[in-house]
Amino acid sequence: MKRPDPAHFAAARRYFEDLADLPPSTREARLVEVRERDPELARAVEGLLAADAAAGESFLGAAVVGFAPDLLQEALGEPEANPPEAHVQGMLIGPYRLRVLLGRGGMGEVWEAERADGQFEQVVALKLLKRGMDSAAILARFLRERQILARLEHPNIARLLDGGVAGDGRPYLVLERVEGEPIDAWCRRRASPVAERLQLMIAVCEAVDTAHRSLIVHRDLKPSNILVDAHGRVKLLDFGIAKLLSDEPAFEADITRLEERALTPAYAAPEQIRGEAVTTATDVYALGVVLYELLAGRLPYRRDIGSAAGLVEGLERETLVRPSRVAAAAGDARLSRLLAGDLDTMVSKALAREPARRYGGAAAFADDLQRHLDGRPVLARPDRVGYRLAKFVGRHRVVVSVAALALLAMVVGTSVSVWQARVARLEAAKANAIQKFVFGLFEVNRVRNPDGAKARQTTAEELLKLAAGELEKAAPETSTQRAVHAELEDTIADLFADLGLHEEAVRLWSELAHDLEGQAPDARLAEVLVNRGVSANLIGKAYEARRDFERALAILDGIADTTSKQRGWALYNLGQHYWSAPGKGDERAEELFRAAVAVLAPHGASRELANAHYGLGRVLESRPDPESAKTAFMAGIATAEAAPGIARTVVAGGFQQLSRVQVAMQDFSGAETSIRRAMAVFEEFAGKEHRLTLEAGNDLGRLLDATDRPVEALPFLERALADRRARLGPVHTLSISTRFSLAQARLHAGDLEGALADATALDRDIAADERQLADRGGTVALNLARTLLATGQIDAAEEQLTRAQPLLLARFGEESPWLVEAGLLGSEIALVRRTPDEVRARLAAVVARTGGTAATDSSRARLELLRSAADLELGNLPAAGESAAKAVAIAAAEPGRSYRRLTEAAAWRAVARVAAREERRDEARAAAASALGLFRATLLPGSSRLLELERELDPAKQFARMARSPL
Amino acid sequence: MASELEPGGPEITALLVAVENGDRSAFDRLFEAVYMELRTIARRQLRGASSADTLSTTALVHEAYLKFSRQASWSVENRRHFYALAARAMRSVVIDHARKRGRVKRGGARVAVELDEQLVAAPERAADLLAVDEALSRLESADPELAQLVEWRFFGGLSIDEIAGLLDVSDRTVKRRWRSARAFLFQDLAAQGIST
Repeated sequence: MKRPDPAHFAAARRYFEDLADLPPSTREARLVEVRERDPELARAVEGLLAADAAAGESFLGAAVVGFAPDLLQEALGEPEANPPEAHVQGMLIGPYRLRVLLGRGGMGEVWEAERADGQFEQVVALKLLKRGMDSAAILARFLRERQILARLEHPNIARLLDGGVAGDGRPYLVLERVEGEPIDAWCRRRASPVAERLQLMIAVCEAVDTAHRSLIVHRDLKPSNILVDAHGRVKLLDFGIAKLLSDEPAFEADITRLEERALTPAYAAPEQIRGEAVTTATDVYALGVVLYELLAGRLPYRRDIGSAAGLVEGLERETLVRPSRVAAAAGDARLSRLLAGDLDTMVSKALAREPARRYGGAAAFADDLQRHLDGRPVLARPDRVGYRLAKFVGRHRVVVSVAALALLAMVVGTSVSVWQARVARLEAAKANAIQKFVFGLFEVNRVRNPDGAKARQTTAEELLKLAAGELEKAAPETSTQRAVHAELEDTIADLFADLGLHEEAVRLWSELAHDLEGQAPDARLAEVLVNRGVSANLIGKAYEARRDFERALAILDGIADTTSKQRGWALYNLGQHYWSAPGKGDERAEELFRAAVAVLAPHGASRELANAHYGLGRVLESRPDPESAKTAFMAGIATAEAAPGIARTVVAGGFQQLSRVQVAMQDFSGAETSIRRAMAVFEEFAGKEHRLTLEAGNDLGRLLDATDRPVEALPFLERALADRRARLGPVHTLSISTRFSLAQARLHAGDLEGALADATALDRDIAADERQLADRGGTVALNLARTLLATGQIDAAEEQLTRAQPLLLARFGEESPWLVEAGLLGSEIALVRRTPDEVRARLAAVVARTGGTAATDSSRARLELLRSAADLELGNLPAAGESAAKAVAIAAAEPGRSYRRLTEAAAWRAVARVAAREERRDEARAAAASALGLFRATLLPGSSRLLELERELDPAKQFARMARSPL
Repeated sequence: MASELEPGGPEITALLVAVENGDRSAFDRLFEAVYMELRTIARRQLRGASSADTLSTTALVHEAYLKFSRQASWSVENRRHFYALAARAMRSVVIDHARKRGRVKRGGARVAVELDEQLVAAPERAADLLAVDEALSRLESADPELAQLVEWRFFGGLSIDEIAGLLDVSDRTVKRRWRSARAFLFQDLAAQGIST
């Protein structure tokens, strides 16, 4: 506004003063005159007259006192740099004498005071409340709360000692005198490490918790109320004072009354700012703000305190910057790393907008801080996931429970249908409790490994052991809790079993069975017994397993259960027991599997029914009745494919077994398709390194070796062996089996050194175990003999063959193809010894054993080759040529010709050799080239066997040498 | 502390003489002394008063005068100067505080709102007071005589009679001048958009 011109105003003022008291008509006449002479002046005078009329006597009449009484009072009462305290020092307030003014704060003045009546020698802090506060209401509240506050005794809380009304009517409160420094200043000054700050906060939280348990909420926790003394002890001030000083707005959401509430916006919880109910969670929030400040060095939020409404609106826009980010932004990478993870999470949890999402209390907050300091996993869950899950769960309670179990099931690679069946019988509440537990595990794991990648690498075993540990700690009280606990034990046990951790599974199931045995035997107990039996069987407790299965069936008989799925599953497992137990249980197993199929089939396609079919298939396969076995496996696969929600691994398992039957039926191509299909599923489902994948690889490796692709077989067998060896040890039946396959494959591939080392070690390990020796001693010795022969150790080979024959006879009987193999090997030894008569005698024995024909095409071809070699040695060239041609014909006519390359190569080599002796050079060269091409395609490049064959068969070499070679 | 002056001491008289002779530093020292004394008196009054009482500026200023003039027999000139000082001091106290409140209200750097600061005065009163102060500054440029009158009456709390006595003019004259000043301020405030 422009400054008026003094001369101009003086003239206007003169006319105004002249005209003001005149009656309106006279005034108007005078104004007309002025207007004619000086219209601008007239306007100024008119303006003043109008203002005078509008203002009236009262305008500014009461001086500043009447205009803004509170403001004046406040202005004059305002503290200043050196407040003159002489006026009140020494003054008596009640029985207290004021000594030193400690400070002036929001509530009024705080004095150091002492008892003047000599009752106690006590120095206290006296809070003299400011005038203008509602003294009567404060006093009433004080009288109401005094008893409670006085009872609040804690070494870290300054006590409220007394209170009353001063002579001038002002209320006062007497508190324990505390010498100290606000916690933030203390930490800053000492540059105290994070751990020390956390220790202080733990003490603060514990003190707050004590107050909470007396139902006292602080409501105004902030650094200036949390002092640290010279000894580093914390002391909380003003507990419960805020409540004394403010109205009870608990159920009033009147935001316009923010000003009247006792709060400090920077530390106030959202519900406090909104004027909603104040609870212990409100203090937890403030503790979170203080911790944030101590860690990040600044307040979590900048709150505009301009207006109450603005403050409330601002809440919605607040997003928390994690303390680690603040530290990183400040360039403190070390601190940032320290804060990232647990501490970020804990602070976020304490500062959750909804009270229910914060720590349940100050004690829980303290616990988590202590856990962090101890390096234990903290319970705070990263907000992001936890909160979203909570919301999601709220919407889809039961669905999520199923999903949670299915998720856990998938982590350990097991069937989803089991969980669905399990969850189906649970009430929503229990299912919800379980899903919480399961997600809790993932969260504990995640918090323990803040780095996502590391958390993902946590093995299922670790996760389950974590779960088992959590379960053991739990002490269920209510029946729902017991039900949930039991369900979880069952679940975790199942998962342990799936991981092959059967000891743990049996332990959990035994606990569960023990609990259930207190009640009348029911289907539930039967199920637990069956499950325990399965695991017990797998850890060599076959007897216990059978007892469990039989008892389960007896329980089901007792409750007249003849048709349930439960019963079918028990029948299957008992059948499996008989099937896998040594001895003659196969008949009983078949009977049980068939019964299981009969009971389960009406229930529709299920994992159990698929397994029953597979069980039957295995028995039939061993008869051997491969056709029927194949039918059973196909039925199992069809069942598995039709079963709802079943894991594809069950289907894959069927294909894996089917492939074995196909091998037995010489359907190599079908077998290879089946096993590769199974393996692909396992790999996709469980990963390359999973046991299931590696086991299928074992089968594939054996198939590849058996079909003259030993080089391709080697990596599968090597990986399968590494897994079995690590899982089961080197002398377990399964490890021995793979070692045998691998030794054979190495021999076939031409890696003679490796094959010999393997075969020798295998033979030695087998000899140490009577049962293994009886079972596999013959084949292992035979393999060793063959390997020894290949490396030129003829006597040793003969010796091993002699050892092998009785073992093979005892194990497989007179008509076993193994004895044909042994006879052929004996012939080969005789051939190498250049005793052709002996070769022919031995071959005659082989032919006699097989009734004129060897068991397989491969054996027949080899028989012809040996005959050819013997005739060649005897100089009977036409006979040798005829046998060699027969061998080639057999190999060429074989339906799985591409799987018989080694036989075909050997046959061409025999042809080449006879041709060379007969000096038919072109024919010999062509046959040798065919043989070498096949050998090169089959044998390990660079292996000693292939080098030897190349020297012999290379067209550049002379045939004379080749003709001299016996085989 | 700006003032070591004992109220009523001989230095006060000397200072008043110096002020009369246009000594600016003497004015500042005297102003400081009066300002501090007013606050002291005000605080004591606040402590003793019951909650229903309000401060009286008049009483404050008079008490300060009595204190300062205890030993000196002041001339009318001296008295006039003292009251002028006292009224100016009161204006400073109130306006300084109102400015502070205004800053708080505009949402400055302060983080914590203490309990009862919110309980006291309606903030718009502070804003109004600042507007009055600004209008008064413009009146000072247009008519210092009227501005002085407003300062004495509104901030110093002096009555028409007292002002007439100090100025040695009739009550009627003071009233007439007050009416002019009031019309100017009202017009000025209305132009600023402040209604009262």
